[in-house]
Amino acid sequence: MRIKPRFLIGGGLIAGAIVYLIITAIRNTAEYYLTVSEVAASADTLKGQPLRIAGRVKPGSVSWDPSSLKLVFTIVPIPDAGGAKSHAMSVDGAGAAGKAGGRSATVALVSTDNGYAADGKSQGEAEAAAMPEGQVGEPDRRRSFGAHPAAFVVISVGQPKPDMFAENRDVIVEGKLISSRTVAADQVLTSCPSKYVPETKK
Amino acid sequence: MVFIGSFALALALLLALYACGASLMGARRKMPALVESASHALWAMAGMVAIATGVLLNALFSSDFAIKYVAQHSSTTLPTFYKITALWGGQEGSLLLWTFLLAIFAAIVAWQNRDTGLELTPYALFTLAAVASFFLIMLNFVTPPFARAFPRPPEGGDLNPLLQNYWMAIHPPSLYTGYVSTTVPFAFAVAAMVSGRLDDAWIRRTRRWALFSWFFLTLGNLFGARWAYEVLGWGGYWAWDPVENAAFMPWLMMTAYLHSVMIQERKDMLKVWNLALIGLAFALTLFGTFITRSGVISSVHSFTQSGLGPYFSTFLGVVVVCYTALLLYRVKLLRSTAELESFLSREAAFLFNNLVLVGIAFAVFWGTVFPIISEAVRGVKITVGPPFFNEVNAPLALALLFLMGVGPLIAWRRASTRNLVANFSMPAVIGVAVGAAAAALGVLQWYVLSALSLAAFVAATVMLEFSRGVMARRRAVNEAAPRALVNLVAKNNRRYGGYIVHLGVAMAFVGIVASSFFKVEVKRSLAPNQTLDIGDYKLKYLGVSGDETFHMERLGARLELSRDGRSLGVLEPARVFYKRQQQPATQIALRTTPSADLYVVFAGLDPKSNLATFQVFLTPLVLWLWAGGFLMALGTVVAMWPDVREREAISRAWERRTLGWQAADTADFEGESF
Repeated sequence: MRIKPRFLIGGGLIAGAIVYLIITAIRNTAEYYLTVSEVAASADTLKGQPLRIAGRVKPGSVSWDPSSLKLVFTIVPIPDAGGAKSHAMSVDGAGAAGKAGGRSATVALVSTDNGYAADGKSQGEAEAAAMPEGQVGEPDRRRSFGAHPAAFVVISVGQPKPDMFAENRDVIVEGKLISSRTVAADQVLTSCPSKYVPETKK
Repeated sequence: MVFIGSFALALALLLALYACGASLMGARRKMPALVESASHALWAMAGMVAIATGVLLNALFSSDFAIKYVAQHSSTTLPTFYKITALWGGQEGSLLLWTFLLAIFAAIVAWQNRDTGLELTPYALFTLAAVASFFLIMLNFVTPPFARAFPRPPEGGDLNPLLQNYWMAIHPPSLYTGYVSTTVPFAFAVAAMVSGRLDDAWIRRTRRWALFSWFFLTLGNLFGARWAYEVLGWGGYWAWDPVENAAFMPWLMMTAYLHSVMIQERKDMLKVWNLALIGLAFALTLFGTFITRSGVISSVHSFTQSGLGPYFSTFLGVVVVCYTALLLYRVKLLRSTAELESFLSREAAFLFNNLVLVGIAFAVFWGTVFPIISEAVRGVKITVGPPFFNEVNAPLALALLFLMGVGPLIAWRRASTRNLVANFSMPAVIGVAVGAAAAALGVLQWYVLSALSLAAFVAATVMLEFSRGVMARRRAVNEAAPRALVNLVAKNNRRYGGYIVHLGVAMAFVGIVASSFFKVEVKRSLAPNQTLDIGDYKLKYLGVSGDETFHMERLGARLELSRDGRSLGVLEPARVFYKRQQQPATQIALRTTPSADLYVVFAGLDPKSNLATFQVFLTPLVLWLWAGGFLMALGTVVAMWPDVREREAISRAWERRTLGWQAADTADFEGESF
């Protein structure tokens, strides 16, 4: 088919408009997707930016007040982040909520225990148990665990506690860093419990 | 029994490989007997895969935990219904289902085309057999469904609770049927290019397959949305999850394809474009399978990382490279004599509709793979979520809606001012009037107003076409209106089926826009006898009630619903705990009316304070989405219905081939646009 120039221009304009839409939309909505350690390493530059942070709920740190729907907990790095990152990011049903919940979180400052270092060994074993067979025992690819002790206090207000939220569970926190150690969450997504993936059993 | 299953799969692979070789050699050496034997091999292959599927179903049914797949995806306490659906609850089983469908379709194609000569059919059979061989290699060597569990566990691990829902019983088979049936038009496209038979024969012979595929892709997406709505408990039905996107992209491609092939049939244009579209549609179905099984992109529906990823990406790469090479090799022969004459023409409207559909697919693809690309290029994982997809697709959807109203009514070649006035003044007035009425009722968002106006515009064009047709029949054959309507649709089912689909799309779009813009959400914790207001509704928390079965524990929260002081009964959203998987899930309470859905989630009970937390959504017009989806499916069935005129047209096309191209022209299709 021979195409007259004006149709090429017309088609080109449509294609150009679509590309323009994609570029501006990415600029407007992109979020950094980082692990707790990555955020800790550059907390100053990330302050105020929309983030998605992957981490694990520290045991004993959870406080939930149902009357005000206020959830406060500490996230620590997921052991073996190299292999675990993609695995842990299988967001469960609540995760599919995306931004539907709206941004009703309010900001509150809470002092935190800074020098916290996660209990690497036991959590490492727990994660190994939760990995597909092929990956068990795979060494850290990204960083040696415990080299960057990092933890953030996450404050979420106005959202129900996610279905599968529990201590030691991997979560993704969507929100902003409001101080070097505190995250105001718009949303907390629980990642899959290990049993979502049948291969992890037995 | 297990042995029979593995053996059947091994035989099926051998048969598929034989069919590849025999069909190819039969075509090259012009030996019909060889091609026929390839057909027979495909039938036998379908039988073998059916036996394997039957064996696995039977093992699930009888809880034979000696098979690892059964031990992992079923249990003795799983209700029988879900034992069957566990067939596609896991990696191996769902691949087996995929292969089963492909084998059945290949067998049907072999049967349908048994007397169609040696030009296209052998190469189409070869392509089908080659794709089947790939899946059978996976089933035999990479993810064998009949792998043994050793030692045999006394009890199975159960099906994921999120999948224990009746929509999950029909969503995956529908989607898979839609995915797999794109292989048929794809196979004929390959055949057209390999054989050099580049007229529209390949399109005609697979038109119904393409509609069939579109029908099931539409249903699969809808059922998936409905499942997400009922099971995931966040008040929405679509989250632009990678797997949803993976199902949506082939749908977009097939939608574009179904439109652009009309231009080729009618005007002999867009030949390369059609071949490219069907190639992309097929590649995207493989891509969808790849991303859900490789662990590359995270999603609600991810299967585990299983080592399938590299095989799928390799296969996908081979398919894309070979197909592109074929297309480039034939591009000279694909020149069209006709050309576009005016922006104001049906050809142009269809072309722009195609550009927008492909543009949407590209945006969705880009957003889906963006985290991988940004990590590879910049070393930082940057994600885009639902806001990205909404921001990009919202204006494109409006453009599409506009073109959907214009396309069916505008004249071919070049529309005159008279044509434009005659066809579009009434729909335009109705569109503007609906927009103005909505504004008068207090709708102020420009997007909602444009969407409503355009949807009304589309509906009006469809109504106009129907009423014109009915009037014409009443004048011509003096029929009563209802009878005229039935005959009109029956005699032009492609065209009017398409209009019904358009009406469904407009209706679904209104539902989507209204439910996205005017959703109200209330989240609160209540003590017994406290109340919560949402819209006109009042919910009073009465207390909890629990019950327990072997399979699960259920904790329901009883809420009395009332409006204007009038009681409307008791809602009981619940939290369910599945014992085997040790996993909680939510059971929503839903009250649907045509104007809005009341959707109640019991989000938790705090043991200390005895406060129950609720999340309540009041979402307008959700029902319109499902009703519109139903209309889309209905319209597709109408368009697929066997049609005398079409069969005649096909036989004329055969004659035309024997008589030479120029003897007949497109007059066969005068007045038939769909």
